[in-house]
Amino acid sequence: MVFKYLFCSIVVLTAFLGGIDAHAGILNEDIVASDAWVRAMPPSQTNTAAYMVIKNKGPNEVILTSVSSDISESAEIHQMSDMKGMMNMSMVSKLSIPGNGEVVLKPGAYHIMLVNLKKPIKSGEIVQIRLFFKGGTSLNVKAEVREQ
Amino acid sequence: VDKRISLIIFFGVFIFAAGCTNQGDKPINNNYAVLNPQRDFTLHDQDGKIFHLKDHRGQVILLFFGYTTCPDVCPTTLSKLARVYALVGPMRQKILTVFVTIDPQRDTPQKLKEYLQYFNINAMGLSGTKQEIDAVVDLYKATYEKVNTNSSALGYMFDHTDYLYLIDRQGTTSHLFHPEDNAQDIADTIKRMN
Repeated sequence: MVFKYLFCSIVVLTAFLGGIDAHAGILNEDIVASDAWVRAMPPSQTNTAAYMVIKNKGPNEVILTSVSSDISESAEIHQMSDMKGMMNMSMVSKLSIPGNGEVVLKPGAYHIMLVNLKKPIKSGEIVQIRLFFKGGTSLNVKAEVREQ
Repeated sequence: VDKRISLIIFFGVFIFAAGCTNQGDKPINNNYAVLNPQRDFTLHDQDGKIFHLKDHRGQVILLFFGYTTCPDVCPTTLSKLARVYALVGPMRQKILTVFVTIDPQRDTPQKLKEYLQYFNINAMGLSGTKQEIDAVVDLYKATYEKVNTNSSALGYMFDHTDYLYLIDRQGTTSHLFHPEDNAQDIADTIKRMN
């Protein structure tokens, strides 16, 4: 019984410390988001898109697995692709940011869909977007609402 | 004589290559006048009034198919058109943007009206039954496909052609713009029209 508790404690402690290490290493040093903005939309619209540049300054690939926002009920990673004049949009479950590389989220390409806005957004407003990466790390990004 | 033969060969190869490229990039081969040969179609506008294309002779029309829930391509196009209006100067009075929804289920006339007003351009939002909309889509050789997404909170989305059709004052399609064409390209093309 004692061994069982000891074993569980070690497992929990290891996971906790592992989480902190990964969090501190990647969060503060390797991943940087810049030029973040959210598209202003008519008040009747309940969805919008967010764009930014996510840069990975570390040598290893980092994988974005999910996103969230304070202004929408849900947030999703989407990809636009133009196949000979046919524009298609699809949700993706992850987005790889290569080591010493970057991924540009921009109109007509990868973007973050903010679905079911809790209230209309206005140009100039600053919204919070949270990026979650494989391994349990995350990054808060401030994005300005603007027309284009 | 040799020089002349060389030139003929050069232009022959050039024209052939250009033809191949256009064939690959576009579903229709640059002969835009074949689109909607009757130069008319009928749908309902955002105020519930009947819209006939033929009633808009004398106006330059920028037509595209989209849906208001589309968060990326459609607002990008409308924002670009707002810049086009600014770039063409006084000619803007004669330009009408026509946004045909491919999502009549969600795009009510009221929703279309609010959506288009936001972009502050002279625009009309057209809708109808699915059959009526599909008939117009066919006239312009556009396509769209409803994609049900179980995983996305959006419910469903559309894959759709992303051309912007330039229709001249006589109702004839004279040019197709692509998403990569910027506002200046579009404004310059419009300004060259008579």
